[in-house]
Amino acid sequence: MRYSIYLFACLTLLLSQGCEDRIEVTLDEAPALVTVDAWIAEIPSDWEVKLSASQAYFDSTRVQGLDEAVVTITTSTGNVYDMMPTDDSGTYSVEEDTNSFNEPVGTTYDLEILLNGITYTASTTKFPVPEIDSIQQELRIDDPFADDGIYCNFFANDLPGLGNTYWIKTFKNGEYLDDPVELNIAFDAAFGPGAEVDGLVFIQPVQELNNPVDENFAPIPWEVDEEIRVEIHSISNEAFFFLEVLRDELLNSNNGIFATPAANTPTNIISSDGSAVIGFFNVASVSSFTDTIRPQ
Amino acid sequence: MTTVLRSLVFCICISLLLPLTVGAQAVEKYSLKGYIKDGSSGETLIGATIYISETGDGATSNEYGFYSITLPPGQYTAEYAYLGFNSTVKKIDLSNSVTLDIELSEEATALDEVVITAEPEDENVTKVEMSVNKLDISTIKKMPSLLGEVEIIRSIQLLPGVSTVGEGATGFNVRGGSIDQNLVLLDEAPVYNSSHLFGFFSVFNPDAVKDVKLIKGGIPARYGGRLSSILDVRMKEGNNKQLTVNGGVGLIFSRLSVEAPIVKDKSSFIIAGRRSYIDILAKPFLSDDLGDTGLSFYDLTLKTNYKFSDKDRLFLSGYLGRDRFSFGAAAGFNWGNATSTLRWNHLFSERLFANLTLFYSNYDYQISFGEDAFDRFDWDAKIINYSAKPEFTWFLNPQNLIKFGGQVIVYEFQPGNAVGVSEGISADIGLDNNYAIESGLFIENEQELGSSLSMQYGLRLSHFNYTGAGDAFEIGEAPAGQRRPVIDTTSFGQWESIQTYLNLEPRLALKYQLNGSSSLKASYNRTTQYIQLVSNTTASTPVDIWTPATNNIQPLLADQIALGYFKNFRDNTYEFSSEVYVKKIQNIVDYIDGADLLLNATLEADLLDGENRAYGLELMLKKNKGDFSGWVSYTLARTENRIEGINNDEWYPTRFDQTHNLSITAFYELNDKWSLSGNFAYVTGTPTTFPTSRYEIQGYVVPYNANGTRNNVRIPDYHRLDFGATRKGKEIPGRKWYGEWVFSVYNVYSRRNAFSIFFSPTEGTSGPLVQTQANRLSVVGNFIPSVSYNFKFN
Repeated sequence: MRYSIYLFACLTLLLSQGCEDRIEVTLDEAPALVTVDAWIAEIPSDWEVKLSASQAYFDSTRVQGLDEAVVTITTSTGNVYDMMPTDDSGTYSVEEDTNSFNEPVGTTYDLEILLNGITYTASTTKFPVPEIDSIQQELRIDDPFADDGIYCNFFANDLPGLGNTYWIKTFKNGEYLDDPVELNIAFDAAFGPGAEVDGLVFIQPVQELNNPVDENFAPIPWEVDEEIRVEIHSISNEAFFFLEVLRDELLNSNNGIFATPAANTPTNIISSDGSAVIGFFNVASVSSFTDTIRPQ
Repeated sequence: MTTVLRSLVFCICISLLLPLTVGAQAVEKYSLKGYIKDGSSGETLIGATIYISETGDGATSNEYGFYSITLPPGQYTAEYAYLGFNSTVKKIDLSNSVTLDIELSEEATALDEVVITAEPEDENVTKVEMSVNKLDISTIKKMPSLLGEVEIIRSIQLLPGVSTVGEGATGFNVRGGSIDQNLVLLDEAPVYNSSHLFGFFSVFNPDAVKDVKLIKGGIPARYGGRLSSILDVRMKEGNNKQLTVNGGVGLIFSRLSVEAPIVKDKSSFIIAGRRSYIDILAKPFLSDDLGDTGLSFYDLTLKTNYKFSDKDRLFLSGYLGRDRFSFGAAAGFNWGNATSTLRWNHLFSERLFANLTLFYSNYDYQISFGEDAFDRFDWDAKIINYSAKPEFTWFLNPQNLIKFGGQVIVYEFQPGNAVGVSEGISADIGLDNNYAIESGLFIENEQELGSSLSMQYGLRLSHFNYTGAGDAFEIGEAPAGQRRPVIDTTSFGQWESIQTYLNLEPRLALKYQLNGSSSLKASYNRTTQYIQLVSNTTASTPVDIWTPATNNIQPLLADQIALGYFKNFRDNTYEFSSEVYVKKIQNIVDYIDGADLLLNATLEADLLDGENRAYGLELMLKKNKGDFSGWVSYTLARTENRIEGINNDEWYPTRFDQTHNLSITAFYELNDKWSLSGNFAYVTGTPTTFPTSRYEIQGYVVPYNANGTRNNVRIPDYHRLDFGATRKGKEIPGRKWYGEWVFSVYNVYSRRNAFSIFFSPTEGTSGPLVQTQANRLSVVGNFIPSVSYNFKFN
């Protein structure tokens, strides 16, 4: 599905080149909402919860962290972790040597945030991930979609059983490829629910999305000696859906006349007073594979 | 509503019986019947009139050019007329039934000649039908057009009540209905995607089109299957007098059509083709990477007919069109329609005309990517349908014209066949096919009740059977606006019924003649629609799929009431019409935020349902005669949806809601050499959703609408001016070649009309301090001049 959208984007671009310009518009006012960024993974640097306030769309000042909350994570294995503010940026973390924070697959995690008299709660389960078998490097020449050069495909098999969802992250020399186009999520071995591709190797559009891309969606080749690391994070189906909407919103501006109506990301955070809240809580198992680009 | 329905049914039954009893008591009568044709090409004329001076009775030729009028024995004077043609008067001795085929000749200078009878010119006032616009293909050809290409769909967008979501968007919206609520018929076969190159050009080749009729309201019972309008496009039959070649060379297309008799006065054909050369022209402008990019489209239209006898005539028509994009050898994307129609006209008696239509229609697309057989992704989807449609026209007497018949359509939906191959391992992520059978029975009567009042009333009984083979899902509950869970799945065998629907659709239109030049009209219709286009993009895309009503998707139901006042003045030089309408639609669908519309087996779980209401005022003033002609059309309208889970469950305007829509189309015959034309359009900006806020998660800065509103702002108003000029060739008797140059400028004052406003990070900024901005997307950013050359050879 994603491919077709790139295709349209290319065509629209072709048809309407030079017809985009910046304009001034007035937006409706809206209250600042509590935003919970709680994507915990089995990597100490991901043992963080960030709390911030949403801001007016055109406000490009640094996001305002909410650093006065009490944040706790309780597991079904009976552990209680107090997440402590690291500074005044709204980031809360546990000590890096708290190894037991990595509970086994199947553990339920409950997040509780107490802020300004309101309690925000969320619950999630840690799901398993498949191992990555290999990263294939290949030299591509005369590909209409890509410059000549080395490109990578990662190989892994979806875990048996319907409804496994993953976030596949690629790092180039340790830097996360964070362009929205590079946001790679999978539902079983494919890119959406309903397809019966259970337990198979990740299908072509998924396994290829670990190459960096430029602003025209064209993949950028890897250079020899660069380091590629691919991580698969297990995510809940709801988290998959959250990331899918997030990605669609960020890419919608490229869709030209085929844009979809603006949508808000869903959330699994519940506030005690029913007030609106933004964000998501997920706890991931992680598998990874690192390789160095070799001459082909 | 049920009470209203019951009384309507009663009225209709009574009215239908009435003429039958009258007929039984009447003295012996005879019929005058035949075909009315264009004398130069032998093409039958649709909607030509015959008027009997002695009695004041009249009749109109049907879609096949056939007319019949029944009168007591006697001497009559019959006037045959058709707009733009010289009228003919015939003396008829009706001591027996008479068959009289009439050929009318085109007026030499169509616009300033004295017309013998005024009858056909005021049909907008005198006919019972309302909310109908006819566009003559010669009028469409005179309008200034984008890149000089004569365009049917873009032309009808200049009529009252017709709008579009934006420039270049496919299809059109009628009285607040979405684009899939229009039944677009090409020689009675439905066309599922009427556009080439998204929405810039339509699939209809103007050289092969005879007649275009748009019905927006008071839809007669013989039409069914869509809620909002019928666009009935009829193809030419082919010149049965002599070989004629038409063609044109433009910036986008080249066209060529050939028509000729096969057996003189018995059989003729037309074959018309177009091909774009945008790929060839674009090549130098494409970067090396895209050098292998191919972009082309073509269409081929074919029609032939054979007259077996005065009673039997057979027509075979076909259309094949395709848009093709290729990216080197590895990847491609193409889509297109194919339709074919076989029709048999048979006269059972002087008064009973029958037509049996069999058609096949197919819309499909294919997408493929990949380097080789070991790494690729192939995806295609189709909607195929077969139909049989017998229709009978019974010319009972001059006061009653009865039509009845039925239709069966068998659908096969292939919503997505998709296979991904990675390193030789193949994964089928395709969807199962869906099947359905839609059937309908109808009867309608056009009846004159005295000299002032006439009515057209009818009933359509429609039935839909959603069948296997396939899985039916039982879907559970979820909070409004969220994906619902699939609770249970049941498998069904081939043609095993999963869900059926039965609907009664009453149709009624009334006309009251106030005086010789003005009338009041009113109409009510209920329409049902059993298939719809799954689309949530601003402009519909070629990959949007059609889906049937299922056990979870209810059929769409619409009720429309329209009232109108029609007046002609200065001897029919000017036509004025004003109409108001109210339309309500039940069971419209929308989608949850982030719905997966493609390759989603449980799409039904992502659907939301709700209702639509539309109302408006349409005004049109048209000048038909003189060197200066044209029309002004104005629509004041609103169309709104209310869907649980969207816009806090409140009413909100649809994406194509336009408060004011004004268009002016003018033609001026400067002299024998030059004719000029101009268009001006002014449209209120369409509504769209703006974010209010932004938030940051995992390093992504994401737009958010904290008020949860949909279509809460409008993009800037749209306006545009176009000019066209035609330099006509000399028509010298005996010379076989005729050529003309057509010049046009689209968007004369280079307005950058917004198609949409979108929001994005400012280039060069990223991370937590990313700047965000609003952008205007204009599909046409400049004025577009063009020149094309058209020729005719005979």
